[in-house]
Formats: sequence, C-alpha cells, structure tokens
Amino acid sequence: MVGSKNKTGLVLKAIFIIVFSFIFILPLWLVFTASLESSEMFARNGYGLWIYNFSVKSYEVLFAKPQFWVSFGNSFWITISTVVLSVVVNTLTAYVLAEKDLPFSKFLNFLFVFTMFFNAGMIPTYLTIKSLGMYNTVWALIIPPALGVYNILLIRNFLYSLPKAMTEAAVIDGANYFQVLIKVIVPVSMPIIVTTALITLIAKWNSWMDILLYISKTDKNSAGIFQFWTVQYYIRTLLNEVEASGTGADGSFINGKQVLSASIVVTILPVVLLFPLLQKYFANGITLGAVKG
Amino acid sequence: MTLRSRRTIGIIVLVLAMLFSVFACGSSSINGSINTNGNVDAEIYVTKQKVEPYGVTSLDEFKTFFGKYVEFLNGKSDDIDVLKVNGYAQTEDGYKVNIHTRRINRIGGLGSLEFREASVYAKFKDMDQIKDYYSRIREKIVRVNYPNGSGETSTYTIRDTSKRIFAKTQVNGEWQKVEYEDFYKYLSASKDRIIVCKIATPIFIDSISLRVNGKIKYVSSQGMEVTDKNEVKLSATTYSSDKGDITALIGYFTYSEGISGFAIGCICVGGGLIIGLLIFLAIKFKWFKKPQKQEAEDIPNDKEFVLQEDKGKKNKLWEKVKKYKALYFMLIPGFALLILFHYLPLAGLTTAFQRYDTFDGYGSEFIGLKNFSNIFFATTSDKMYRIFRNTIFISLIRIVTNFPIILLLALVVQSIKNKHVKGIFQGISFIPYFISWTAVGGMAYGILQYDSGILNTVLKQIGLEPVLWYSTSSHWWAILAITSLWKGMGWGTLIYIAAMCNIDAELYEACALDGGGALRQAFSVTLPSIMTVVCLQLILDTGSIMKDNYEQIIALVPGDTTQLNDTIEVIGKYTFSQLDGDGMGSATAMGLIQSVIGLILVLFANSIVKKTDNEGIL
Repeated sequence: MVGSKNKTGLVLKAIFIIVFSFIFILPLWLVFTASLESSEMFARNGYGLWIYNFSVKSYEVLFAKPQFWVSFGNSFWITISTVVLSVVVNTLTAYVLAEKDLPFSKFLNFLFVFTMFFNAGMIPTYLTIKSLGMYNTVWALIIPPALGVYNILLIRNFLYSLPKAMTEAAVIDGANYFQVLIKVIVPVSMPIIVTTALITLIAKWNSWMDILLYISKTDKNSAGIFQFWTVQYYIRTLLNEVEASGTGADGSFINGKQVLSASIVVTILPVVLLFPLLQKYFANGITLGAVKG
Repeated sequence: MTLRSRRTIGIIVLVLAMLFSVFACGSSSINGSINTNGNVDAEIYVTKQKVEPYGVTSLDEFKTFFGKYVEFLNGKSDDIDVLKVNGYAQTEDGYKVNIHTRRINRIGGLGSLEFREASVYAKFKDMDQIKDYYSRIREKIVRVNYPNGSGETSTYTIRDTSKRIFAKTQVNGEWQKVEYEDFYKYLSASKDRIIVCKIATPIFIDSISLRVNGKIKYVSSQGMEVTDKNEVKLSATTYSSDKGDITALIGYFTYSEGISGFAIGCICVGGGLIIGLLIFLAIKFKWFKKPQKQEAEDIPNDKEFVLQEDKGKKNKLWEKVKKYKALYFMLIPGFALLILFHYLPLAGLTTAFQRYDTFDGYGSEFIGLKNFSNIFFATTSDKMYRIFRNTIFISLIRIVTNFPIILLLALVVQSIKNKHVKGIFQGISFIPYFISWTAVGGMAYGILQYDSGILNTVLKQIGLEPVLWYSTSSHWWAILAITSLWKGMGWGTLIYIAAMCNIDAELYEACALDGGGALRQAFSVTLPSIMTVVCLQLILDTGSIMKDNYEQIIALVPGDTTQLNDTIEVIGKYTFSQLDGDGMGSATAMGLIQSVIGLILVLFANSIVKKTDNEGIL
C-alpha cells in the first residue's frame, strides 16, 4: 500500500506472515520429522518439531512393501493416462464449443455446462459404472474423469478471446478444421492447455474417492496385492490400520505411524517438486480463463 | 424474453422433464396385476356360509369384519400398509374383496409368496433337490391364529402328502404333466418369473385370483387353476396337520413377462429428454421471428411469410450442419463421455423412488415419494433429520469462518511490498491446496492423536488434560472447519487478489494524502473496490450450502467410527455407507434433494448477480 510508513503496521504484518507460514507448513513438517525419527525416540515423544535421532528405517519398511510400489506405479500411470486423455478430449470439445456459428452450439454448450450444476449423485453414478462393467477395472479410474467441464470452460473462454483473423488466415490457405486446430489454435493456447493439464494432474494424483467407490477392497490378485489401488488410497488404508492396531502396524519394530508419515512424504513430494511450475501456471491460468472482475 | 430468461426456462424445463421421466419409469406397474416389485392386485372370494359363524350377515358387516382382519395382519407385518383394500362387492354366494398388497411375504404369519426369476431355482445342485422342493412345497406352512386365537404364529406340518405335486404346461391347448427333468431345463434357461405360494389363510377365504403381466407357462398340478391366459385362481384346501386342520392356498406357476419394466424405463427417460429438447428448440426457433420487423407491415401475409421463412431456415440449417461436419466429429468423444457419465446416471435416480434392493435391481419396489416423506417428516427415525442438520451446520460454519479470514489473508498478501516475500508467502499458502485429503488425514492424525499427537503433547506441557479428539463428536465441527480453512485458504485468496490488482493506484495515493494509514486504506479503498467480487463469492458460497465435503470427512476420520456420527454424518457419508446396502433408495433421494436445492440456489444467486450488473455464470 502506498505511503504506509506505519512501523507497527509493518511489525503486525510480519508477525501475521510468520505465524501463518508456520501454520501452513507445520503439518507437513510434522510428518516429515516423524518419518525420519528413530523408533525409540518417536515412541517416547510422539510427533514433534525436531529430529532427535536421524533414521531412515521407516522408509526402509515402506519400500519393502510390494503394495506400496504397485500403488505408486498405479498413481503414476493412471495420472499420466488421465492427463493425456483429458487434454485431448477437453481441447477438442472446447474447440468445437467455442465455434459460435455451429448449429445447436448454444444447446450443446448448455448440455455441458448444465452438468456442473446438477448431477445425479453418488449412487446413480456408481450404478452406471457397475452396469457398464467397469467395476474393479482401471478404466473406471481413467475414463470418467477424461471429461472435465471446468477445464473445457477455461479453454473455451480463452478461445473466445482469440482474434478471428488468426483462423481466417489459415482457412484461406485451405486448411480444414482439424488442421486449423493443430497448427494454429493449439500453439497459441499452450498456456491455458498446460494449465488444464496441470489441474487434471493434481486432481488425479490426489484422487482416492474413485478407488473407494469403484475398486474392490477384497479382491486381491495372485500375489496378494490389490492391483488397482493408488498411493493415496494406500495412505488411507495405512491410517485405518494404525488406528485399529495402535502401534506397530506391521509387527516390526518400527511404529506404524512413522510408516504412514513416510508414505505421506513420498506422496506429496512430486507435488512439492512441481510446485514452482504449478504456481506460475495456476495463478495465471485461472485468471486468464475465468475472472472477469 | 431475453436470452437469460430463455436459458433459465430451458434449464427448468430440462430438469422437470428429467425428473418426470425418472418418476414415471420408476413406477413401471402396468395394469394393476402382479408386477416385478411383488406388488399384487388380487381378488379374494369368500362364501357367505363361512363368515356367518362370525356374525356377518350383510355387506357392511363383512366390511367391518374383513377390515379388522386386514388391520390385524398389517400390525404383524414389516410395514403398516402392506395390505390395502381397494373395494368390496357382493357376489352370488358371498363377497368379493379387491386388495392390493406390497410384497405379500412381508405380511407376518401368512406364509410366503416367493417371487423371483425362474433361473434362480435352477441353482439347486441336482434333480432330486428340485423334485423335492417343488413336490413338497406344502409340507410346512406358517400361519397366524385368527380371529379367536392368540395371534401367535405357528408352523404346521401337513400329514398327508401322498399325492405329490408336479408341473403342468400347455401342450396344444391342453394342460399336461411335465417331467421334472424338463421342468428343470426350462427353469435354468428361462427369463420368466416364478411365483411360489404357500399362503395359510383363515377358514373363511375361499379362493384368490391373481392376474399377471404376461402369459402363464407352467402351473402346479394342485392348488392352482388357470382361469385365463394371464390369470390363476388359487383355491383354498383344508389339510390335516400336526396342529389340527389348516386351510391354505398352495401352488406355483411361472409366467413370461410382457414388456419389461426396464425397457419402459429407458423409453421414459429417453422420451423425457427428447421432450425437453423439443421444447427448448421450439422456444429457440420461435424467437428467430422476433428480430424481423414484419409485424408492422405484412399483417395479412403473416402466416405465409412465417412458413416460408421457416422452410428457408430449415434448408439453411441443414447446409450449415454439413459444412461443420468435421466439428461434429471432433465433438464425439466429449459428447459420448458426457452422455455416458453425466446423463445416463440420471436414469439411476429412479432409485430415489424405490425401496431399492440390490437383488431386484432396476425392478425394485416403487414407493413413490415415501423416501422423501421419510426424510422430511421423520416417519421412521430422526436419523435423516440429523444428517441434514449436520450437512447444513457444517457448511454454515465453514462459510462463516472461512469467508472473513480468506478476505483478511488476501488483504495482507496484497499489501506486502517486497515482491520476493510476497511470492514466497503466497506460494506457501498454496501448498495445502495441492495435498490430497488422505495425506491431510494422516497429518491431522499427527496433531490430534491421543498419545503421540502434538496437540495433546503441548496441552500436557501447559498442564491441561489431553483430549480424545477422535472420540469426541462435539469437537469435530470445529476440526472440520479448521482443516478446510487450512486447505483452501491460500487458493481462495486468488480471486480477491486478482480483483485487487485492478484497483487504481491513484485511489491509494489520494487516501494516503488525506492521512490514511494502512488500515484506513484497506477499509476505504480496497474493500469497496472489490465489493462486487466479494458479493459474488459470498453468494456462490451460500449456494453451495447443501454441498457436503464428504471426501474431507471420510479421509479425516480413520476407520469406521460411527460414534462420531452424531455430528459428522452428512449426506455424502450416509450415501457412501449405504452403497449396496439397505437404504440406497433414501440415500439417492437425499442426493437428489441436495442437487435440486443446489441448483435452485445457484440459479437464484445467478439472478441476483445479474441484477447487480455483473455477468453471472449462466
């Protein structure tokens, strides 16, 4: 703010910033330290701010579990597949919906937007997925989220702002709709497309409700592993185990809570690493496509 | 009509059309006979002599008498309206009652009426078991002592079963015996329905006529008579048993269904959608007329002109479609996904009007608005009220606490002059948004857990008692509000900061010149300038009051702690617990209410926003 020479104001602000930064980071820090603590110290002190005796035992235990690796691999592949699929579907759909001269365009737009305000709910969707035969398959995790209406709207609104001259030049040169899309629209819309890709990436990496709903919790494959679990869901099962058994969920010396903390650290690591990228694209992208304030 | 109100009408029409078709196809009962829900319309025949000992000599006295019997039976059953009388009439030698029952096997102490798909019975392991089952269906019967008895149910074992029952089918117009081997083959491959009756009746009932929605295929050799293509008559026979004489209607029959309820359901949903689409298009096309100014000039030729116009427009339309063919192709994947996963599930909304049973699936019993009346008027329990209360309270607390704090945070962030500090702090505030709820659940565990959580450790050091956070339900409204604030705070400031960036720097300078410090500037310059965005956000938040964040709740609370249900059971959590359970119907009903109220609120909020000269969402 201009002209604010108020010292107390500055001090207050500084306190505010420090306190809130602490609040934001504290939970992450807690699990971080818990995962690197030795089991004796953790059993004595519980979760804390300091690491007394450094130890990577909880990571060793975690990495020795095959279910963890399977889940992590699943998270990875499912996320990438969903992102690729959704970028293709969303961009195509947004391109068509942005074409205002298309017959029935208003009606089609309406059909898509309507689903943002009225949906059938958990049970009817569950019944649909079951009756399509997708229960307990990987398709239930990849195909339904491929269509993201919010993302489509972001891209579409961006396309509205493009000057018509751009496409008209290409059409004069004899390009058909598909070529216009690939050669003209996509390169220009890269920022917003990447934004939607990142939105889908984060949403999919963090998603676990779909596993809870559509994947069986009792069907293990021959190696005794749940094939389709993702790492987020795995965390949840660890939490349940720890809560149920108290300490030492897997019977070894290491405390189950520490294994849980280690799994959390591993899971949020990709997000934290991607973070600078995310901050740049998200903050700009959302304002590009949505805010009309 | 403006574009906006046209669209609102379009939305309302579409929703109504969908709800209507859902309602319609849920009630796929065709012509008042037995339908696949086990709803039975039947006629009971009673001879005069049999009721005379009870003092019944006229139609009115019979009505009172039989009414008491119905009341008695309903009292012994699962639901209070399982049996309903539709009418009485007098016949040559007695009386006739038209009754309606929902699922006769829910009437206590009357025996059983099994009603399944024929192939279910093919699951018996071998021929002997089938023979046994069918030929012996009358051996054990359960009944209630009425009207002079104690009202208790007892099981009667019939003594004389020398005459075995076999199956008959129509061959060249004649009903003939069928060997059980062939009957078994038919059962295992058939899509027909089978009804096995073992109904113990009071002595005064003579016979019962049942009509089915289809053609009768097989019938048992005793106890039943086929009186019409789709009608059977069960005659009461008296058997001697270990507890004395018992009158019963026993027999079985199979029939092949007419039109399946499912097909009708699909037709209804499709029809509803098409009607909605047609109405929408009709409104749209009519308004093509308006921009033309012919009303003032060509009044006599109005009709002709319009007709020609429409025809011309139709040709142009078709050519346009052909021109944009490629675009339509490009739309196919998105459109297919839309229909499959967003519109097709709407057919599942029929569950809200049914007493859904995963066994019966689509053909579950239609109970109309009972699920809804149960929710609003708490006819069976106050569980529903509590779920709704929790949902709304949690949302309210969330809105009331989050809203001002997010605004405050936005003000502070925007006021940081140092670009580096600002960027870093903003970044830090975003981090929680990108963490999944399960990870947050694990982190919350690190804070709230009784033994090792940091919160209790701190409390102990201060000298206070540690708290059982995970077991005390009253704390959870606060815990939920705090965690959702923590997670969404940074992200929520984005929209305010974007608006604040547009404020003219000169306004700040003017305020500073007038001697305004940071606080003054915030109140007099920043807040008023972003007021429109603030209002928009507040209205949107209110619109989402029915939205429960069940993902947060399920993730934060480990295991299946139902002890916290007091405060945290919300619509989504209840729905999830009912998956493949008993209450799927009422869970879907609640979700439907949620969606409809949410839609109404959003439309309302949208119209308010429009009135303040802003662009809304629709």
